[in-house]
Amino acid sequence: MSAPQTQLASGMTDIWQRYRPLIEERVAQIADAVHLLTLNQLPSDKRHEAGGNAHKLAGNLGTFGHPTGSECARTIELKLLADAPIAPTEVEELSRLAAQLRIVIQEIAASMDPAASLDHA
Amino acid sequence: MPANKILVVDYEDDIREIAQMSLEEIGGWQVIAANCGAQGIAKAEAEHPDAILLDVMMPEMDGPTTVLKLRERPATKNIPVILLTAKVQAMDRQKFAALGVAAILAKPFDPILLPGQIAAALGWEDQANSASAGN
Repeated sequence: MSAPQTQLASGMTDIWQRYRPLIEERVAQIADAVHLLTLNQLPSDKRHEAGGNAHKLAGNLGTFGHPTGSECARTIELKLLADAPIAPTEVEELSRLAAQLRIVIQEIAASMDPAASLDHA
Repeated sequence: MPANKILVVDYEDDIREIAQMSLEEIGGWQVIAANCGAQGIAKAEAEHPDAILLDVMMPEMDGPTTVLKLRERPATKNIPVILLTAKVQAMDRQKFAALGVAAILAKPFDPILLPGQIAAALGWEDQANSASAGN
């Protein structure tokens, strides 16, 4: 790894540590929305908010080195922001993807800072 | 030769910081940053960057609207703009391309590769920091 790349990696770890609470908050809001969806009680404003959060995660999880996290978030985004009712099979998929996002956060944390990931486990 | 100066405009603080660090450390460029379209326009007029890396989805003034406003101003109308977007729909991309931007780059981006993608779009390859030559 070149010196600039080492510098960049160090800076990325710092950014991850500062923004991890916000990212976790977004993941939690999505999980809450999907839970309400399973109960058929998801209001449209929360659905839109969760779709927006999924869009943000789609744009940044890959930048933190986890492209599958971005793909997962993008699938959630497209389903929540679509102007269509969500079918029961899609609700199951959304539940699975929301759970997957939590795992992604742990995996990014472990790759960025193994000690910090234990603190949050 | 002075380093190229690039303006990064992104509403998301973490992504803006990563892009800035990437372009400074790997690209070797001078970077100025703005967190919204209005601030981006003001900084473009004041700082005269060589290029603008502009997020598409921002509240109040989105990226495409910001491009149109930059084009209306004599001081900024010729600054090349690269759009950065997490939108993947072909229709969106066609709409963005019609704005006459230099390139449309996808989010998420790889911070190690981002400067090379920008340099390729702007013809800056020869001016790239030798620090990135080993990538």
